[in-house]
Amino acid sequence: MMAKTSKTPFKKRFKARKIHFALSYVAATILSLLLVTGVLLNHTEDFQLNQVKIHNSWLLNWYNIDQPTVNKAYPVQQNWLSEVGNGTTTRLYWNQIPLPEVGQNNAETRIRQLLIFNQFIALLQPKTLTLLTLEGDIIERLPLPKALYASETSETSAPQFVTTPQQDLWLLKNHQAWWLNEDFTGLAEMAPPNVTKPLLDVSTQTPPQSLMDQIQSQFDSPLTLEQLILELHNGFFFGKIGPYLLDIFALILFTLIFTGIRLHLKK
Amino acid sequence: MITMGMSTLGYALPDKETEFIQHYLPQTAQKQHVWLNGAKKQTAIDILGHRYHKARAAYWQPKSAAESKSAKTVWILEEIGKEKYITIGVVIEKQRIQAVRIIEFRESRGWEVKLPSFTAQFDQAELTSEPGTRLNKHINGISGATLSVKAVTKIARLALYLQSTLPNP
Repeated sequence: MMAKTSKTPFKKRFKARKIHFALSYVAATILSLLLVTGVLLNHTEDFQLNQVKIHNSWLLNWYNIDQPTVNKAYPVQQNWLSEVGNGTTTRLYWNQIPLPEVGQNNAETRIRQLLIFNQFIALLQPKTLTLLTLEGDIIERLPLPKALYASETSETSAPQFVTTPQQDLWLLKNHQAWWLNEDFTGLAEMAPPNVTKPLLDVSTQTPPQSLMDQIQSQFDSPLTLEQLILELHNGFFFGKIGPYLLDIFALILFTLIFTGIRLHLKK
Repeated sequence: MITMGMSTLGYALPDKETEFIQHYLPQTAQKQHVWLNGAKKQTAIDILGHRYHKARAAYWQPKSAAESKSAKTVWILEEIGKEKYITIGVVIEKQRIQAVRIIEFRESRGWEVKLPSFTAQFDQAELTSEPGTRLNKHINGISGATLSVKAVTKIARLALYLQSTLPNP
């Protein structure tokens, strides 16, 4: 009788200890994570966590954030002018430096044609003719006449860039002609010139990998370290299931309390 | 009526810029440019702390002024506050600021620089003789709008500097 009564509590105690140990390791790990992230969140401004942009590919993929990719790149002497998109927005880069934005959507920014003429770059965009120096400084952004607009994605009939013996720059389309005035302040519709010489576009080429890496590293990632830590803390890092995982963690802690009390009482 | 061939050449200024120019130059205004090359480019870098994003800066004067540095001049320049460009209008006459206005504010914070109580601080400001790119007045900051205040102050200095580079016939 004595042997029977002493054997059962030992088995139960052993079981409780096993459960207690196993759960305590899990709980310690999660609790440490919550403590560290909690302390960091208390000092986000001190550590400027909202200023730290996350560029890690895996994390960006986890958050479904499109990373920038070079859609088109044009060699301009020793430099590169690139059209860089990340799914929703498009930006132009002079080497690794983003050009000032005029609009970030594809309908306004994408490059239709690019050519070098008389020591400047003429960049045709859907609704704009942008003129740049060969050092990548913007001279002027000229709104195009509606007849030269392009649709958002397609280029049905692009205008043709031509020059004349006077070294002027003209755009021709459907028997209409527009002249770029001498101080680069506007396009004037005029009668097509008699003698013209077509100007050739610069062809796109694959830029060096180092340039693409630089552009990616400077990507203005919407994911900050503050957001990452916050979502690790509140469980949303794991998606909708995150809060339920924290509920399970709370249950684990609750179980630990009971197994711990039981072990204490049965000593 | 602002001439510069805007309508005839298919080039139109944003409405707010046109209003600003018309307000300060109700007579015929003529658009001119200063190319930022050589020393001007370097001084612009010194003032802004980075390259100005355009190869040339636009200004407007009465048609009769003939690019004079003492004539009333309207400058419309842009500078980044924190992340986005702020379009700033600066009116200068006789090398002194007559008015500063925020024409387009695109940032999400720091809009307080649009308040007349802030922009009025620039009235009658001019560049110091030494080193020549500082304002002779202290501009009080605004809590929570530090970067915007810096941007507006830099543009005021840049406009005064560019004005000083105009010829004086």
